[in-house]
Amino acid sequence: MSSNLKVNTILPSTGTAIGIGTDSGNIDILGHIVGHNTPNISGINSVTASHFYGDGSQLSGIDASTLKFGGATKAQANAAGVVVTGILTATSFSGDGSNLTGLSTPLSFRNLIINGAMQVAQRSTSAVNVPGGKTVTDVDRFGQWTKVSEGGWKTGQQVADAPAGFKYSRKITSSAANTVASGSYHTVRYAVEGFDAAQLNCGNSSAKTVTLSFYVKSSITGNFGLNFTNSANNRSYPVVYTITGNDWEQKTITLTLDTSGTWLTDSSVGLEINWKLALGSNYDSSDPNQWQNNWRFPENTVNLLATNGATFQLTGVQLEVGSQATTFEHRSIGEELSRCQRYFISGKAAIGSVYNGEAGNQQQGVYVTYPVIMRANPSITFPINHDTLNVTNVDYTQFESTTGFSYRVNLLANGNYKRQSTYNASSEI
Amino acid sequence: MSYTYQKILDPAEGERTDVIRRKEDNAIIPFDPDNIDYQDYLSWLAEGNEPEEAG
Repeated sequence: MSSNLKVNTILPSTGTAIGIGTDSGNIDILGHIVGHNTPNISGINSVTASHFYGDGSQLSGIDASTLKFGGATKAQANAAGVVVTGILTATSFSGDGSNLTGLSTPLSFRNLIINGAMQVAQRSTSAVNVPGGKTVTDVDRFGQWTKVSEGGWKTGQQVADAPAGFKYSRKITSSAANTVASGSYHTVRYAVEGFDAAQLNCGNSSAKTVTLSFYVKSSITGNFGLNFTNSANNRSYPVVYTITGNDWEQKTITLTLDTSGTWLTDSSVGLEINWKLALGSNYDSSDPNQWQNNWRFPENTVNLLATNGATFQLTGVQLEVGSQATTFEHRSIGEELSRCQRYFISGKAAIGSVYNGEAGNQQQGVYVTYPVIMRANPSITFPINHDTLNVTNVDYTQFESTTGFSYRVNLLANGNYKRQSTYNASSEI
Repeated sequence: MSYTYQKILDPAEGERTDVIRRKEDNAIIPFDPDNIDYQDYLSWLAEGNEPEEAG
């Protein structure tokens, strides 16, 4: 038996509520529940539905800290941020990436230092007695500034002793227990070319913050000094760093570059870094960690060359924009060599043929092309002769330029002739 | 190290006016203002020194 009750309106007997159904029974609704004005539904423990519609902006008490897919958590929020498990895909990222770690592809071209891993040593791989002046004697690009009258105080050499991840370092060894006078100066010197330093905005209010990092090892412990300086060496920023034992230690120095002074942005010296080996009191500063006039270093720091046999080793040198020292940017030996050759090239020059002319002072020449265009028209020497026959006025040059030179000889007699020499072309700064 | 200098005689073209020889290491130094060896040579001249004639 079935029956239907149809009425227009159901009104409560008292109050405003109407009871429908029982404690355990259901109310089956075949159509829609339609509210009028702003009806509320409350006191319901759970709602099951296939869809929800409407504005959810007023929902509260929802735990959105976890996003799952297939039962697995893909994003978990915590007090520090959000941890994403899996691949995070986005059309763009913004913000400071200085704390990114574990990058499989390191950012390139951030190290302003050439040959920072001391891989290239075109001049010599054995110990060289360092003369006076601004010189480079062994490892490319890493030279020294030595008081002219105090040449011979030290040797420089590329050695196969380095921290993990490196093969070579540059080693300075003191040749005697030298007496450091007030005017003595001995540093390991690196000069960044002005074209490369231009991005740093030195001498302007927008001068950038940079970070220098390097590995150092010394037979002497204590406070050591270095400075950053301009080409005229009339502005400097002295810094103290500490070596605690005769083992490799990494040092990191962050500073904002100079907002005044004259800083060159051409093929001259743009920025110079000097690691103190021995300096007289004339160059002392009691105000480290700030820009100041003149070429100054922190006072009361180690004079390494005052101790016979003392050693100082350096490698993994990196100078980069920003306040964080990132992992050292290793470059291939080929790329590093090519960069070094802008400043120094050691190559072979050879000439030879069968000469069938009249015997006498006839001139012959061939053009030697440098593998890279050099910084400036270089000075040329011929330190080693490998082969010579029937020639005179040997090893002279013409048409010297940044791209090469004409290697010339004069012939002695009719017949075969040859000449082969090692040439060194130097346009160091 | 103190250097001394000598003019260069080109066997074919006579005395060179665009390079100088540094005697201690026979470096041929071009008269390029950006070459630091040339800058040192200019400083040496400024001290009143004169290079040797070509030999």
